[in-house]
Amino acid sequence: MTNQIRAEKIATSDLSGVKIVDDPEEITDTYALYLDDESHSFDGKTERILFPSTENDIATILSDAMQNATPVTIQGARTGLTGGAVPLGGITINLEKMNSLLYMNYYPEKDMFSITAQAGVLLEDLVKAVITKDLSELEGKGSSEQQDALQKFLADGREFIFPVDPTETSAWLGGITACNASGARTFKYGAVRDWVLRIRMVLMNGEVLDIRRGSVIAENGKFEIINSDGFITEVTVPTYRMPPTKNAAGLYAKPNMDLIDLFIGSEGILGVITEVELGLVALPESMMTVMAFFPSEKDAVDFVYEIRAPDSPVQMEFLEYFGPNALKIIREKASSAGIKVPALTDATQAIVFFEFAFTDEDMEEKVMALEMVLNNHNSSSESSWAGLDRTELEKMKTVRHFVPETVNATIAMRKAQYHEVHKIGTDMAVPDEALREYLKFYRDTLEEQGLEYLVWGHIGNNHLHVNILPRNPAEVELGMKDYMIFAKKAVELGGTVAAEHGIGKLKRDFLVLMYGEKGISEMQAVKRALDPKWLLNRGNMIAVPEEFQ
Amino acid sequence: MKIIVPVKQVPEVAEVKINPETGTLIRDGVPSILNPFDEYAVEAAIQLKEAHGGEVTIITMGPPQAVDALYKALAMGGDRAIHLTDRAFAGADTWATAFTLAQQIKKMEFDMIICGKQAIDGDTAQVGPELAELLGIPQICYVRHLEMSEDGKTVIAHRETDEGYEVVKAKLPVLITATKGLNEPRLPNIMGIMKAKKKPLEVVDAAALGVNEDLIGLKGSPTAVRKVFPPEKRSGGIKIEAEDPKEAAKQLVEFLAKKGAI
Repeated sequence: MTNQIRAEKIATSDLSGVKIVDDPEEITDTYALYLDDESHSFDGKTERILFPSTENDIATILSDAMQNATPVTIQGARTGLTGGAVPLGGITINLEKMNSLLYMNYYPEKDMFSITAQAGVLLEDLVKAVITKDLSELEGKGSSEQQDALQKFLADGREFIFPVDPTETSAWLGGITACNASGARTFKYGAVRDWVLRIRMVLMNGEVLDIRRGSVIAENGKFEIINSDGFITEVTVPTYRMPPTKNAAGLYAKPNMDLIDLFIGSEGILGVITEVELGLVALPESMMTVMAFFPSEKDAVDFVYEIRAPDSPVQMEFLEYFGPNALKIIREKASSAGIKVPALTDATQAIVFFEFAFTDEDMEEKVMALEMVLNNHNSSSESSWAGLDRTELEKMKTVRHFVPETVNATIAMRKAQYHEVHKIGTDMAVPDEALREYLKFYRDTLEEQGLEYLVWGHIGNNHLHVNILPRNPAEVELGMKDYMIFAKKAVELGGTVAAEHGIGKLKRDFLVLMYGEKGISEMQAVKRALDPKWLLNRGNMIAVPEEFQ
Repeated sequence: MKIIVPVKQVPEVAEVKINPETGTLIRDGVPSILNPFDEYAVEAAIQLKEAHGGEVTIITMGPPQAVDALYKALAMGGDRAIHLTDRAFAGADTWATAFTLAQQIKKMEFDMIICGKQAIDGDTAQVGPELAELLGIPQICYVRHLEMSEDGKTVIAHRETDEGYEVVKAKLPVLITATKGLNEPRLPNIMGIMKAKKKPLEVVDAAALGVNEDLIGLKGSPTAVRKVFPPEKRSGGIKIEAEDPKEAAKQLVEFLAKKGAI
């Protein structure tokens, strides 16, 4: 084990394979989408958009930019919700041409397959290639061991998935890694971070790091990067304590951390990820997906506490929640969409949506145990909606999707009346024991103000999305103040201000709440060590110090 | 009342692709489901059983994995299932399929057979009617409303036609094919799924069925699919982009005239 890693100097490129767009009109017209992301909160601008097709192209572009002190924004699919991929000047590197699947590996000691791909591969394509084993693209690529791994994978009778299962499958692999995305199954499998086995990344000076998990570990709070000229870049691990929750806020920092974790979730401020190796898991043979219906929020939350306890008889893959106001939407939309959910009566006030794996042997035991837990909280397995096959799951997903769909449509209507109106959606998570208190805090605050809102989301991780739907500009202002209040309360309860959407350019103020000025300056120190001129993804996560503005 | 519901496992149709070289369906990676029209049949059978008592038997002919479709129907409330599975059954057309199902059903007691109107993969709507013919019982197809007479000896069915619907009365035993709108298939629940796995499921192969192998599967199929092809894609329309409205109108008139529309 070592805390040192060698950076590799790679051949310069003549950039002949790089598509360059630098006509200002073309950029604002044809390439307008490249100046925006899903937050639609920034008016992006850039002098030039470059589409490299090799790592060498990226290295050359970066070292040139470093010499000329040109700010660089790295872009993936721009599906982020915090403006992280939106350029605010300088040049933009978009990775859409780096979209090849590369090879598979097999680790016998863990009986685990992995797939390595370039950063611009669409998540949806990877997911599909893996589940259908449609991997002809990999034939003849990589070493002979990697070819053997591919053959072994194809011959394996089981179905495999990338376990995190991020919902936004139009994201790219570089993006989900740089932002440490989460997904439906994060409750059981953790975030993207937990499944990244190796990355390759280009640093601002154009040199390349190839980091395999487990090979570079911090010693005395330091990493040492040995540059090709022998100069050593020392990186000091920040000393703040991260919350024990699902978290996508700030640089990862733990005393004996792995170097790979510093870069995962770093929102592109430390380097450009070009290649990612992701672990895969075999799908359990049988899986039951369930919507259970409860007469009150309290019953639903109590059910969650009991079913996710360490001694729970049923290990859930995920646990999602829909509160009373979300239910109103579901009830209305389901009946107009012709999906009749008999158990969804007027008395139903909350839904918990979950999934668990079983075998023929343990099925009865699990169902009977689940029945008891449901009965303890005024629900039952007879009144549930459950499915084993894809159609049932798709129907449930449709029902689930009614909620964000209706929220967005409502906001769009109100926006037509008042341009300032936008949805206010929280992304905080708190530790397990604080869920009840935090949920009550949300309710008390919002009910008292009379704002229109609904609560739904990843209750298994105590990560509920509160959606505030302002009816006018005054309510927008009130809602934004609430956001700050909610963020403070989450931190007070030992939680995070950004569980999965990250900080980007939009939520920097909240990060200060969490780690204080000292924490921010420690992150700045990491940034300075790797990007001394402060050029990469300016404005993400931490503000640009005055001397660089 | 004893009711038999023949069902089929089908590929989820939204995902089906055709191999352009061989002209056959690509089934790899395409999820399989219980034919949606069969869900109406299962629901109708369960409702009749709930109202009049009796037993619902689900039957399918298909490869080993078709057992999942049986479980789905059992989870909805079927009482028992029969799975006709054998390599010798493979490649059957509608005739051989109906013949094979009929051989099994002839051994059973029943008052009613309820099928889905058609399977969403082949869309032939032939197996139900052929089955009725082979069994020598009346058939009422495309049923969207179903009720029993008070003595429980006849059914009154509303069958859909192009112009409206017909009200048909028939004595039991009878074969019904169910169409959308007959009912709202119930959603399975956790308990139902668990119980499904414990309900009796009988697996029957060609030998157990005791049929001449020349009459089943590919050999017993008088029809063969020569080619499967996707319908020709509709080509895009034209866009008239002249700035002057007069010029645009002129272009539109010329286009419509050329097409013989005016």
